[in-house]
Formats: sequence, structure tokens, C-alpha cells
Amino acid sequence: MSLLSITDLSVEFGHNRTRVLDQACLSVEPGQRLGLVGASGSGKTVLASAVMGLLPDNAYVMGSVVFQDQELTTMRDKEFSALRGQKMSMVFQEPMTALDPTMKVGRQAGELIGLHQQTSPKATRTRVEEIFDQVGLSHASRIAEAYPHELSGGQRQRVVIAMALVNNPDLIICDEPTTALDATVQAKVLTLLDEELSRVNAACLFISHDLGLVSRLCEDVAVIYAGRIVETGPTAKVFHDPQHPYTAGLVATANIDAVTPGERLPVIEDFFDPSQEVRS
Amino acid sequence: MTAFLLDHVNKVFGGRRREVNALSDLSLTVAQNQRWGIVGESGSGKTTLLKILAGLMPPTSGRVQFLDRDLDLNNRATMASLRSSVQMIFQDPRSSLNPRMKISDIISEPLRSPLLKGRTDVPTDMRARVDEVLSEVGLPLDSADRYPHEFSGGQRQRIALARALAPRPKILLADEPVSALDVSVRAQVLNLLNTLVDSFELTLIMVTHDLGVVRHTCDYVGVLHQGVLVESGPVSSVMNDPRQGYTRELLNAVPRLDS
Amino acid sequence: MKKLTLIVGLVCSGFVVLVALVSLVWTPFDPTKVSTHRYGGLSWPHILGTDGLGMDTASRLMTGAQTTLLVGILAVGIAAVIGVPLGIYVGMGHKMLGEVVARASDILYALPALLLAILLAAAVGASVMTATVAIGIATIPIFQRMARAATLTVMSQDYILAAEVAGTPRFIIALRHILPNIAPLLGVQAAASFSMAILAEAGLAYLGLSAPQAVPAWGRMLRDADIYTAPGQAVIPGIAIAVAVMGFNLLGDGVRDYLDPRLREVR
Repeated sequence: MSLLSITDLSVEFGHNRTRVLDQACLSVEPGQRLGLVGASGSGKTVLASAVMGLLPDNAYVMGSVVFQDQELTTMRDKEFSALRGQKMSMVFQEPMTALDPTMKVGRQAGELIGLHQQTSPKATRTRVEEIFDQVGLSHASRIAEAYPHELSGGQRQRVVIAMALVNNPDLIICDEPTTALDATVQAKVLTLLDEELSRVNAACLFISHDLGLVSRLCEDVAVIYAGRIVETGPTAKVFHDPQHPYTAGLVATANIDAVTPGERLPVIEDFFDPSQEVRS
Repeated sequence: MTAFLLDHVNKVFGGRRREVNALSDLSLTVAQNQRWGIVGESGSGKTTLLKILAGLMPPTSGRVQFLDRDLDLNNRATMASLRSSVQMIFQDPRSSLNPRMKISDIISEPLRSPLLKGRTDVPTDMRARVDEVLSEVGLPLDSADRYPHEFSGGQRQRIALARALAPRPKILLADEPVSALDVSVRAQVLNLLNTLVDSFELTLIMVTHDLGVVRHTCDYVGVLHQGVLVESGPVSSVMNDPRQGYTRELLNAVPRLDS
Repeated sequence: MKKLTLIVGLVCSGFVVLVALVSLVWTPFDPTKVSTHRYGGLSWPHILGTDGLGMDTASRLMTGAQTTLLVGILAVGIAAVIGVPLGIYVGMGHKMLGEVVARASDILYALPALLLAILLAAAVGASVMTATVAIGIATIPIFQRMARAATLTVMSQDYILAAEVAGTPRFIIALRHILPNIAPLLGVQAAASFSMAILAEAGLAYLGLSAPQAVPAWGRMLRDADIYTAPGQAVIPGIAIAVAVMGFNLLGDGVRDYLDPRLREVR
């Protein structure tokens, strides 16, 4: 039984019902890491928001999202809140906006524990420091007493990851979690994410436009183009032997090191005519 | 002739209490027609360096020369020469184009500078020059009468390139020119940048955090770390045989798509 | 809902403007002509009655709309013409001058229009003009601060750097890049300040610091009405003031909601 299975999920927005996600099908097994790659505006984030129940009010959702035998598309807000942060959690792109600037980060993480289980303040504090320690925040007790702006970008993203892990969720959705970070910091955060996912044995839906990151972290990948999933499979296979021309173009443009310096870089249009009908 | 020469340049920000050394004792020589990539992370001082080269701020100490001429921000003749020969493109084309101006007005802005009045090396027929650069960057001529919001990110970066090319500069400064663009668009803009630098024999100084872009586009690289130029030289030698620990760390940090 | 704000604002402020325009060419009676019907009730031909001197209230109300608009336009004009350039200049990063302007602005901000109006009235005599100038001066800091804050936002955009690299002089940058991009915000502020000015002038007139008795102005009519013998004569200009203030306020809000792309996208 899949942990998460998305069947024919379509999302439309607004009065004129602009379709941004078109009959997407995906499944994530327990402990599996699935990368979701695509250009901006391809529907990656909308898919994640649909799974997390974070779509705005003007969105129309069709199809089905089943998580641990529960249908999410029809779930009421109250039940959904109970699920979010406990069974499934999310790591956002911009840690500064994901954290409340007026609250000490230790308290923010503590509240997340308190929402889903009854613990004493002391136990909560111990758990927060433990998880901060685990994500490589040295002097965990001091960091817990800091406000978000007092931390560096890398530290903030570690806090966000710690908060996503704090209730030992079964699924973590990461939306471009390292895009806002410097390369060396990104490498460290990625290693951390890798280790922590293995440690708690959580499944991960990893959204990124960076194929390098996905091939580093995920064993499987889905490629999304213009709201449609055009290809799914093991990462190594999809990236080495892409079946869909769009995937081939994406891989070729991403692989800048394979091109002789100064030579023309391949572009997606060399492989794929965007005007033609997309079929999965 | 050298395009830029920096001699023991320092830049200090802030008051007496809290000084920040944005650039420390930086010396660098960029010969004409070289393509330099300056790599570094946030806070490395790469943007400060670019602003000093663009004549937007003076260094705290040290000497800056461009085209064998001392860069003096208060000297009108020098600045006129700098503005006609050095142009710049920016990271985010959403932010670098005034949303309330027509494309033709955006592109012709460098030509309309009073500093360039009476110079013979600058195109005078603005409308003709706008059409010319629009076709050079591969945009339809009817773009001239439209507004920035009608264009995609990649097209906007082409418009920014057209603006930079308008006064026929000799040196092009680029601040992360493709990092705000989608992967699919990045290749197109990089190809265009390469073609333009080739055909107009430009000197390129590009600041970026993306080593892949540097390897592809540049022949020289400088590594900035906390305001210090820790390593510089030909791309092949620095990237294949880095001398400094920081350069090595930077090189290893990039996730590769092995194939 | 947001459209409703704009529509109600447009209708109310449009009505005031319309009445003022009509009064330029036609009023039922001469608004300053005295008749024997003192405090006449609502009756034909004086449909809104007459005031204590027997002047036709409807005619005075219509002509008063002119005064109201004039006060608003002049006060906002004074505040914008002085405040906006100062705000832009300071926002573009003149540190020394910035401090001076900021402090001067704080002092002016602490000084109420009332005090300025008393000073001006004492110096040159109370009139609609002195009241308007006082309100205008007191509003300068609002425009200065708004323009400065908006300029700071625009200054952080790369197109300002691009303009500098293009060799564009600072004065031209202010006109070409900053002013057009802060104009929508200033427009909204102008509408809000417009209604504030109308209200302030009415208040000053009620205190006798604005229009003299013969001049048809709403605040003055409020002052001249005897609420014991003819309360209706106080209610009528009161309603007019309320409609105008509300109208321009809603207009400002409506325009802001309409212009704000974040609000517009959500629909």
C-alpha cells in the first residue's frame, strides 16, 4: 500500500478556471524519496500545496489524493490540521518567511510538538534541544533562545528542517529547500536532509528545478511539464535514458559541464517543440 | 591595453564602531577581451567589486584604472568615457527594467545620458539603434513599443542585454545574469551572451555563484571569500587544480548530474 | 465588495463635484442675499429652509461645495508640491539633509493644524485661505514621509542601478524612474488627505478660524446654525460634510485596492 497516492489530480484556478495541474498521477511508498522536477510555473508547487491542503480558496481540485488510506481532497480543515505537522510536514524555500519573526525559534518548534501531543514544558524543551542538536545546530539551547533574524540563512533552514522532523512524520515535502542558500551551505543542508530522512525513515517528495540536487538525493524522479507529469522512473534511468523529449531537453540543458566551454549550449527547443501536444 | 586594473583596493562599510571590510587588499588585472568569472557566495564582496568597477561607488583606498585611465568618479570626462565603454546587466530582469517605461525608452536610456552628448563613438540615431540591438538580441522589432510585463523572464534579460549593448560598450559587467532564470531559459541566455561577447569583442566580467556557468563562459576566474581574492587564474588550472581549501570546498559543493 | 467601496466613493465624491459645478452657473437663490424668512423651515421655494440671516440654505449648501473642493485641492496641493519633492530627495540618499528634513518633519507633525491656523489667523486675519494654508502646511509631513518610504522601495530596484550605469543624472532618475512608480501611492494618499482637509477646514470654520460669516462654507454654516431654534440648519451642512469626507475616503481606499496587484490577483 502506498503512503501517498495521487490519482488524476487536476487543479484549476479562478473564474476562468485556468488549469495548472492536469490529471497528475504519482505515488510515494513509505521511506521512498521522489524528486519532482520542472520549470517554474509547471505546477510543482501547486501539486505540493494540494497534498498539504494549502491551496487558496479560489482553487478547484479534482481527482484524488490518498495519504495513509485517508482521502485528502475532501478532508475538512480541522482534520487536515491534525495531519499537518505530525504525519506530514513541509520544508519551504525561504526559511525567513517560514518562521515567525516575532517568536524565538525554540518556542516555535515547541508549539509544533504541543499541537499534536501532550507534553510537559520541560519535556518539550528537551525534545527541541535534542532535535536542534540532531540537525547540526551547535549550542542548541542558545539557538532555541534566538529569534529568526539572529540566525544565518543556513541555520534558519536547519531550524525549519528540525521543525519538519520534530514529530517524526511519515512524509516530508521539500519545496526548493536549498535554492535560497549559498552553494557550500546548500551542500551541508543537503547532507543533513539525506541523513535525517534515513534516520527517521521518512518518505520525501523533493521539489526542485535542479536536476543535480535530485540525482544526489532521490532514487526516483517525476518530471512535470505544463501541469502534466510527462515521465516517472528511477532517477538514474530517467536522467540517462530519458523517454520523453522534454526530459531529454531538461537533462541536456542542465548538464552544462558536458559541453565544451564556449560551444553552444543545447536548449530544450532542440529536443522538444513546446507547441506540440504533450502526452504522458 | 588593460580593461581594468585594481591595485590594492579596499572597501570598508560602516561607521567607526562597526566596520565591515567588504573588500580587502584586492589586486586584479583584466586584459582586454578576457572573460572573467568572479565566484563567491553571499557576503563575499562580489557585488561591491562590481559596483566599484561600474563607477557606482569609490573604493575606500587603492587604485582603480579602466582602459589605462584612472577611475575618478568626480571627473566628468572620465565618467563620460566610463559610461560609454562600460555597461552592466543585472541578476533579476524583473527588477532591472522600469515597469512603467516602454522597451524603446529603456534601451535608449544609456544613449540619452547628457554625459555622452557630443561623443562621436556613441550612436546618435536612437530609434535605429534600438531596432538594431533588438534584432541583435533576437527580439522582434515591435517589442520597442511594449512594456516589460508583456515579456517572459528570458526575454526581459534579452532586453537588459540590448540596453547594455546600445552605446557600443567595450566592457560588459554581469551580476549573476542567469541565476534568476529557469534552467530551460538559462541556456538560451548564456548562448546569446557568448555570441554577443564574441561578435562585439567585449571584455566580460561576470559575477556568479555558479561554477558551471564560469567554466562554460569564462577563461579566467577569481574566487572571492569574505572580501579576499583567495585565488585567481585561468579557469582550467583553478578548477582542475585548486590551490586553496575554500576553492576546493566550493567546487565540491556543486551537485553534479553525472552522465 | 472591493468594487463597492470604489463605486460608493465615486458616487459620493462625484456628487459633491457635480453640485459644485452646477452652483457655478445656477443656484435657486443668491447664496448671499438676505431675505425676511429667518430660520424658515423646509418649504417651497426655500426647499432646505433659510438660516438666521434669511439666506437660502440650499443655495449656500451648493456654493459651499465649491469652497470645500477648493480647500481640499489647495491643501493637498500645498502638501504634495512641498512634501513629495522633499521626500524623494531625502529618499534618494542625502544623509545630512535627510536628518534635517526628518527632524523638521517631526516638529511640523507635532504641530497641529489648529495651532497653525490660530497663528495665521492672528497674523493676517481668519479666512478660508489662511485655514487652507494651515491645513496644507500641517499635511506636508504626511506626504514627505510617504514619498520618502516609497522612494526607498523604488531605490532598491535594479533599474535605478541600471539608470546610474547608463549615466542618467539623479534629477532625471527622480522624474523618469521614481515619480511614475510612486505616483499610485501618492494618488491614494492625496484622496485620503483630501477628505482630512475638508474635515479639518469644517472644524476650523466651526471655531471661527476660517470662513467669515457671509462666505458660504459648510463648516461656517454649522457654526451659524442655532441648534435650539432650528436644529435642521446644523444637520444639513453636517450631512454634506459627512458625505464629502466619506466619499473621498472611500475613493482613496477603492483606488488603492484596485491598484494593489496583490489584492487584484486574488480577486
